[in-house]
Amino acid sequence: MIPRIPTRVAALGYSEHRFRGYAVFAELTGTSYAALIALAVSGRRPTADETEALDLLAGVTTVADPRIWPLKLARLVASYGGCLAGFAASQLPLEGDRIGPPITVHAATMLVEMHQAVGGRLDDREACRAAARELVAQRRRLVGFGIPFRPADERYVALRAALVARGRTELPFWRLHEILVEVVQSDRGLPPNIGIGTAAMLLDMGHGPHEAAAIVHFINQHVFVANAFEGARDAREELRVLPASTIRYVGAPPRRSPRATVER
Amino acid sequence: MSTKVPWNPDAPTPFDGQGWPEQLDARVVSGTRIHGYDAVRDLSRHYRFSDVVLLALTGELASDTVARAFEVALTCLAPSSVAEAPAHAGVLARVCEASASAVIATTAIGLAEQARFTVAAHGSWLASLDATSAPSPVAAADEVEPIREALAQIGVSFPTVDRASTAVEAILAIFHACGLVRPDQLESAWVMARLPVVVAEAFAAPSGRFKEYPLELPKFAYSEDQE
Repeated sequence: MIPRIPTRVAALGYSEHRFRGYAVFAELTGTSYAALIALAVSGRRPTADETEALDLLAGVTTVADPRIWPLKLARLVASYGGCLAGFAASQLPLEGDRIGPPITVHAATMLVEMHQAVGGRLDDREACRAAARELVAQRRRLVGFGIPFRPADERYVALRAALVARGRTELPFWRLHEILVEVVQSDRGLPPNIGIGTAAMLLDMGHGPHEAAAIVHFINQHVFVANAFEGARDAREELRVLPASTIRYVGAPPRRSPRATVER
Repeated sequence: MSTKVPWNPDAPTPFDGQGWPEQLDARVVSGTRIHGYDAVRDLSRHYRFSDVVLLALTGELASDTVARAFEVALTCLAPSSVAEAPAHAGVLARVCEASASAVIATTAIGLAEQARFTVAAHGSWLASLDATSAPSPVAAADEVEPIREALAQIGVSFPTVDRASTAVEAILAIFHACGLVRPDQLESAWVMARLPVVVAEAFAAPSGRFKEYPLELPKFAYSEDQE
């Protein structure tokens, strides 16, 4: 006898369906897509303010240049004309430690640890700075800090400005993260990137590190969709096979196998 | 309504001036050669496909003994039941009338995940294979004995296989003895061993027969209780 698999995701009906505790047509129709993603991952429907913040996060993370590594991967696989194949392939490398949801998990976990170290003393700036210094001293790699190819992360700058305008920078994790940013900049000279900003923002919505990471990843899917769709539609031969002149062989030199040598 | 901001195609981008290489490095294949050996004029005449797989994964042609042991391991690992997620997923893709490429890709992803999970779950077993002082052999489990017999049939015996208590441990021990020691090598061999059989199971299933698929196997139970 196989036990039933518990799920809190959804159940089918005749004239109405359930999704995460809500009636789909009666309660969810018209909900922002970013809010649906947050509901899908966490099972909690974001408030109107949180929905606005999620929508703006989706906007500021719209960096879709097809040269960006996982987006180019979508183009390569989609070059045979399959949009979904390109899209699916572009998702798989994002479970690594350099790009994708794990970055948010690490950044959010760091802030959660800082929050625990500070306890209820969020207004004690020195206690927060001490907790930040301790975190920085413990870690060789500080996820959420450092920006390749440019002096500042324009996404972080845009997110911060939008959150300031909406009064969300007074929330606990955002305040903690700003102190961490000060300490990291003074001790390591590293500027913050979007990873630490999104982690703070999602923690302030009550999401844990893994939920935060999944939400950030899934509301950013439009950048993959755009590349997979255009890549499949245009199906460029230049991506299917590169000219020989663009390939440099650096492997083993030509050789004969032992059996061919014996035969000779 | 926001104002439209014009795009300046001449504006510099962060990717400019980074000194990117202009060529893509090839490290395994050059023309018809694999790790330096000509696939058409040499390997195809003197070696089996499993030898070429081992060459691809290790960079070197194996001795005949090792190559035959690898073939035993691949063959013993090949049967992957539809009860397991990769073949089940392939059958489900087929039920959805997926294209052949989508069925193959679905099963390949499932197998790669199964391989990653299995190799990770056998971390201590794999570490013990590197140990200099090997533990004593254990009594061969029922599922290991036929694998040992298959190796004996070709005149091969590995002490590490004698210590295995499951078929998966025995097969990983053979892979290890064949020079596949890194997770990427072990997982690649796992996928290559099973992919032909798993796609065959998927393509043997009728396409688009939604009513013939056991939808309630297993059953899900939806709840709106708070977690």
